[in-house]
Amino acid sequence: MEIPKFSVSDFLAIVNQSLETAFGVIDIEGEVSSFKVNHQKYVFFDLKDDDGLVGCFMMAWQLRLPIEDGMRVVVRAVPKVTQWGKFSLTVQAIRPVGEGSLKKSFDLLKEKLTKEGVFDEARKRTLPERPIRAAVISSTQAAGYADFVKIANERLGGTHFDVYHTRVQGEGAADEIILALEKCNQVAEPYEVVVIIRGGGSQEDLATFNDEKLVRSIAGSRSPVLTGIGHETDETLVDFVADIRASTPSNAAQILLPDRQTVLAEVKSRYASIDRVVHQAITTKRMVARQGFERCQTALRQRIDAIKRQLADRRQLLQSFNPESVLERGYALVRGKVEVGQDIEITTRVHIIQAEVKQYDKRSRTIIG
Amino acid sequence: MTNDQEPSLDELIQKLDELVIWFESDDFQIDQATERYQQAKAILGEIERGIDEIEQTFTVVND
Repeated sequence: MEIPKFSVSDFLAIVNQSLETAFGVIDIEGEVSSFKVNHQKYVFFDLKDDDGLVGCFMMAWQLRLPIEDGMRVVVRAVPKVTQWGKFSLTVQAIRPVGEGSLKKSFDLLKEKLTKEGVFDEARKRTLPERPIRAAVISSTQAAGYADFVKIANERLGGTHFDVYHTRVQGEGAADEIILALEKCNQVAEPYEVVVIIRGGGSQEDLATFNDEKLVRSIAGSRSPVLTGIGHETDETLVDFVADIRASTPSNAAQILLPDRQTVLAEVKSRYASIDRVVHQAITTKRMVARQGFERCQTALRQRIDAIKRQLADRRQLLQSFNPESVLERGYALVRGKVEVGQDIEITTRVHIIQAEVKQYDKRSRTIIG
Repeated sequence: MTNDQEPSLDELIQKLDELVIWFESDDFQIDQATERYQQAKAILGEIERGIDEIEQTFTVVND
């Protein structure tokens, strides 16, 4: 059998063609070592396990999460032999796996973004009290979205939601959410709020929401962003950058929309103040009227008393003019002509005496006073 | 949320607030109180109905 003979470059081309046919794009899991970035553009590292090691290459802009030596990762890559005969993996995407690596990557990125001020409280905006128009970015097939809709419908109505359906986990999910957020920020009339939600899941499931590009996209959003990711205890980087963070999708609906009964109670308490004012006004008017009436009564009584006193005085005066009262004091009333031999009538308090004038003398009058 | 003829919930609440302010202001006169009280009561009824009946709307803008 004839042994094929190739030039070096032809051989390398055939090898690469064979690799492409045999493997295409593959995922490989291993531990990162000798990680370095050259010229801030080219990323080199080795991927190893207990029995083997393979070199990896990627561009720095493809790094969506910080990676460092010791982290366990899965790379999506194309195996190839370089023109210098070196076998390596050309990496298209890399993601940490396992709790330890995910946590490490999370901590590294959080520290980096914190130092940049991406999470600063001064950047946060408040939400409107009762939004009329809002956007929701989520998977419409997921339980988290269903929870949000259920709670939203129980709260005060009147809000219109434009829903942007995206995947919320897995490769490419972060880019879908970023694209949806860009669309939200490009509408002519800005949304009053953009809500990004997904339900609970593992740390790997939630890794989408630790994507650096997504975090920066939220930081630059024109509309305020409310997030509700995972369960109460879950923490993702989008929660730190959001203007308002809810603990779950249900909690996001509770934060965004007021409770119907609370609003009704507030309105009723406003109305109740009318009752109090009217009642107070009526009470005051009644009191003023009563006081006026009492003053009338008092004045009238005083007038009547004065009149009674005046009447009493006049009665007393009249009484003093009554001849009987003179007789009562021991005086006598004499009637008849004062001439000797004339009959006169003498009236005392007790008797009427018929008498004859025997003699009379004129008396001299003494005026007292 | 609203059509051209029916006031919105916000507009109704604002009307009620205006009446409350009148009741609490120096412009209050007991002669006008009955009519305005009835107005406030009617508005409150509309607000209660609105709060109970009004719903959210959801539109999926992409698939």
